[in-house]
Amino acid sequence: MNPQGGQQSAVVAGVVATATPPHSFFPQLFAALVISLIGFGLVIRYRERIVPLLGTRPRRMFWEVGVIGSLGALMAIMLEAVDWKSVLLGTKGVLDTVLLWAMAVDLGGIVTAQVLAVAHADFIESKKKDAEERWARERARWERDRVAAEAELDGVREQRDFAATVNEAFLRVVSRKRERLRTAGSEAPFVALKPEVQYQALVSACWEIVEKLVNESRQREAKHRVRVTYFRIVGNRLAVSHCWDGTAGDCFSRLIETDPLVRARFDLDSGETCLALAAAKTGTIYWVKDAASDAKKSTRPFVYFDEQTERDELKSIVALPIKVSGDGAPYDVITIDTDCEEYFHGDTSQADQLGIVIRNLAHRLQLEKAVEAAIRENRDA
Amino acid sequence: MPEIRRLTPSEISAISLEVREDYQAAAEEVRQLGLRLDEQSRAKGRAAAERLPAPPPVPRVRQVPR
Repeated sequence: MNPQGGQQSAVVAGVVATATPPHSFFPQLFAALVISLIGFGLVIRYRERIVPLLGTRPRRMFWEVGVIGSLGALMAIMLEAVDWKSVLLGTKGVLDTVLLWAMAVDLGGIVTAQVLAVAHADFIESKKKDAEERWARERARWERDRVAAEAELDGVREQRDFAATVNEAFLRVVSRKRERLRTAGSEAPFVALKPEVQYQALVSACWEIVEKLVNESRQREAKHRVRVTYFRIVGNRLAVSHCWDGTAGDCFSRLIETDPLVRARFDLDSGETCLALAAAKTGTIYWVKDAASDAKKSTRPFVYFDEQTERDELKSIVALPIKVSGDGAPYDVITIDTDCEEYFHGDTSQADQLGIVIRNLAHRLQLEKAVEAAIRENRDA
Repeated sequence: MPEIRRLTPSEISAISLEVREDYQAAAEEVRQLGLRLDEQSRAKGRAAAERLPAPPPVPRVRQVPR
């Protein structure tokens, strides 16, 4: 191709290259830059239309392979056919040079467009993924908080219902007593106050509450045995005052009265001890989660009075001193035992629940003790 | 032992039966009260939830075919 024909063609193509000497390399470079800028501008301006045209990932991969293959083939042809020295030095025909550069830039533009499109798609995709992950994290955190709040609220409601039930149950015991007094009449002797009935009623109310706690999850299964024993300080001894296991009022071990060794364990001055006596002396709540294990430890106050008979029916026990503000040791004591293994573990929730029971019980038992003392004084007088 | 009359087994059973009836009545009363309170607090919770700002929307990003 002659240089003159190349110049004419370049003018027709709109490339301003005729004013510069044909031997200069710059017109070709300028043309290449203009074409590249126009190509990039178009790709960026219409990227959202171009990207969907690229199709799905497998199609894009074919497309990439095709472009790279074509580019490779073109490069091979150019390396083989083109006199690069004359092109770079500007001694080759202008039209040939410009066409070659335009072809190279166009191919570069296609590859650039593809790269831009892929980068744009990846950017959009990662932005979407980030936003989705952030939203999923927020959602999971919100859900965790909601579940925790619900659980906390359920626990509070359960505690509220338990406290209200305990209060209501003990208030009804008091109401029964008021009814008894009303029917006894105003002329009735002091003894009509019947503290012995009220003691038993209070111990039975305590049993009703704790039995429901122990067996609340056992609707159809065999229920666990629960026994509540009220020990009182009498002289220098701790004596069984009232007892209830749901069926009998004399459900405590006879050894407390008949066996000298066991009797000594209830004597405040003997130096021997047992769980109830330890609670009476110290005013501390003693939790025995595993009775068999505790019985083996000399450092723990719990002992079986008769291991053969007690081992199967006494698996866990708690001793609660009856303390009202102003009282000092030794204290009366309530013990609650069960054949439910490891029941009295004394965690915060259980300690709170039994604390509510024992506070209600303590004030009412103390009142009955005052009534009993009044009856005694009245009789002595 | 304090000088109070020992109750007979039948008296103990009668007292415990009374207590059981009272306990069951108390438990039922508290259950009903609890249900009412729970419903009230849930209604308050629902009202409060309606006043809360809506959770963040699912991001709407142009879907790019890959």
